[in-house]
Amino acid sequence: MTKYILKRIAWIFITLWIVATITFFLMKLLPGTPYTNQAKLSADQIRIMNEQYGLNKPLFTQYWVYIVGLLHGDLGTSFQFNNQPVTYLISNRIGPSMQIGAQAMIIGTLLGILLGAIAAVKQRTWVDSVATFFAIVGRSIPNFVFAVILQFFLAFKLKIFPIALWDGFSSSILPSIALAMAPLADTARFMRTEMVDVLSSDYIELARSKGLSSWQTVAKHALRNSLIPVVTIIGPMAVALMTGSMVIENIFSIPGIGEQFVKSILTNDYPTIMGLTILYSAALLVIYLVVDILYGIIDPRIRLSTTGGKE
Amino acid sequence: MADNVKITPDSFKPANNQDNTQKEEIQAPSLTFFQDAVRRLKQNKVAVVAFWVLAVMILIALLAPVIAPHNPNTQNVNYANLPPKIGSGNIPGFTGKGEVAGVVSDRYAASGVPKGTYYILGTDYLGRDLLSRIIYGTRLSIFVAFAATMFDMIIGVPYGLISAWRGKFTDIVMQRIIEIISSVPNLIVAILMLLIFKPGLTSIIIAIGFTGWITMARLIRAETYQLQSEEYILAAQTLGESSLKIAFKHLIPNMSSVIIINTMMTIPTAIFFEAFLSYIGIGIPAPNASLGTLLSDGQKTFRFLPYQMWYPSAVIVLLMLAFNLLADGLRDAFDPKSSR
Repeated sequence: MTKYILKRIAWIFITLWIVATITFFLMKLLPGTPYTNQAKLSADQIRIMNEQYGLNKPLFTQYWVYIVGLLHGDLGTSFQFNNQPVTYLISNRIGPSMQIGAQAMIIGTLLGILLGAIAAVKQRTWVDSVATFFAIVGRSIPNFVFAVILQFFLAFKLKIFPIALWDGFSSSILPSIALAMAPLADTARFMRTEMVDVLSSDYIELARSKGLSSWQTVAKHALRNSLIPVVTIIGPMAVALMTGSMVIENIFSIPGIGEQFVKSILTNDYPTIMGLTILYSAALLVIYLVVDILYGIIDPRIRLSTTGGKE
Repeated sequence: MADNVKITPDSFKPANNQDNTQKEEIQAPSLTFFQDAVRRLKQNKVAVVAFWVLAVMILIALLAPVIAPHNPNTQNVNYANLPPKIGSGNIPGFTGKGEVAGVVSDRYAASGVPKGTYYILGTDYLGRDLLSRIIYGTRLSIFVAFAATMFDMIIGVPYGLISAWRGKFTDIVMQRIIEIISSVPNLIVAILMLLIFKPGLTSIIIAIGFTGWITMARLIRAETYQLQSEEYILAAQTLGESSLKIAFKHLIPNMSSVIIINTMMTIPTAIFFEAFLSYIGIGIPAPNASLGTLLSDGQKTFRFLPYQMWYPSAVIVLLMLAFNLLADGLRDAFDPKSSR
């Protein structure tokens, strides 16, 4: 077990290094310049700016400086935001993103599990059809459309929530709901499939024949066992939350890292783009590892082997 | 009871041998795998409706130059932000009347639009016909989705096949590459690729296609591993069939349902990606219409001119819903064991 985890952690670092290297060279290939109004700058000014940002050094030296900085937790300096270090930008903005992400995850998984379980228990009835249809609709509405619709009705028309600002819990509710839509739909689908499988298994028959009420059978036996595989969709869910946050944060004017990412793309802020890509990648790799370990702990049938890993 | 039953020799008579041949006859026509799947798909009403909705949308998209009432990119600033109107404006919701500063008035008259000219879904802030833009946007979405999906089939299927077929070291390396790519969220990979290429249709297709094939490659690899140990594959190998021929004659036909289902599942994702990228402003460059750019334009004026947001939203939701429902139907049809 320990050996497996250590091996995985080593692999995470190698992956991050490769991701960092690829993004570094991709950024160097980019057309355009980091300076707004480059045309108005004189050659001397550009030379001075290049010197300041270390852009005059040979490519490999720049790469070396970047990787060494990365090892020290230094992601470079933003081109756009008054020479702030990228790490400072990120640490200032990660709070709101984490909060909304966590809230969306909780809303999404809980409601999704509930919806999926109900659909499975009431299999092949109108309840099932409604729940399944709801899940498919949830998957079909792009999150940015859903967010604008929520904003229009609940904030603009009914004035229950603030329209777009970042000020405490009440302003985080709408974005969380908007972001929760995709995880909700996916969890519900997955949960239904698993639960339908479990409900037709022998031990559920046994529980029923022992005379347990159907409520007890579902709550004590079926629900628990169908929850195990649901753990595996946490990874894809994290991806959905990360990418979703880019538009949702923009729509609700939330000072988070998703909004920052879009902003830096539109302004050619290479160091911030690289820093955030590496951050997203690191977060995702850690989540994948945690999910695999969790899965092994929850389901003793799956043993994390030191040889292969998942298969 | 038993005593009352009398069995005499003439209770028995020889069976009619000639009838046997008829009994053995198979009544139902024999169906191929695909015919069987199509039969099951036809029984699924929701999937059939989704299929026809898609058929109509694709037809409209294909015939866009003929059907669109106006040129989608022609600007006419005098006619900006006109509300929807059909004919002489007798149909509720399409009256051509709009609210400006709290007063409802006929916007068409106010803008001096000649009688007889009308915009079914109104115009945008540059006076471009919204309906035509939506039709062209849908055309673009569908085109991008299909092209990107082809792309991921062309990379994904061979990648999975080779990875599993070669096995050993090749497999390890190829799987590591997949792991590295999937350690960065797909959309971010697409965004990074879009930053390097010149903005445009081809770049978007390549960016979306490049990120889509991972799932396909994984599925095909798993499937190939399973099929590899089948006896007919072993037989083909023993007879000296080349790997390429085995792949095309045995493996791919046997995996066709996996390929079809996964392709159908990828299409809505590709449509979403395109809309997402255009929405944040790095997708289809102006002035061309895409559902994403229409949505982002519509959102800016949503409070005052909600129709500019509603109609593109409705179209993209309908499009994705239809693809999702058809994909679900196809999965049930091709893989009846999976109960969704």
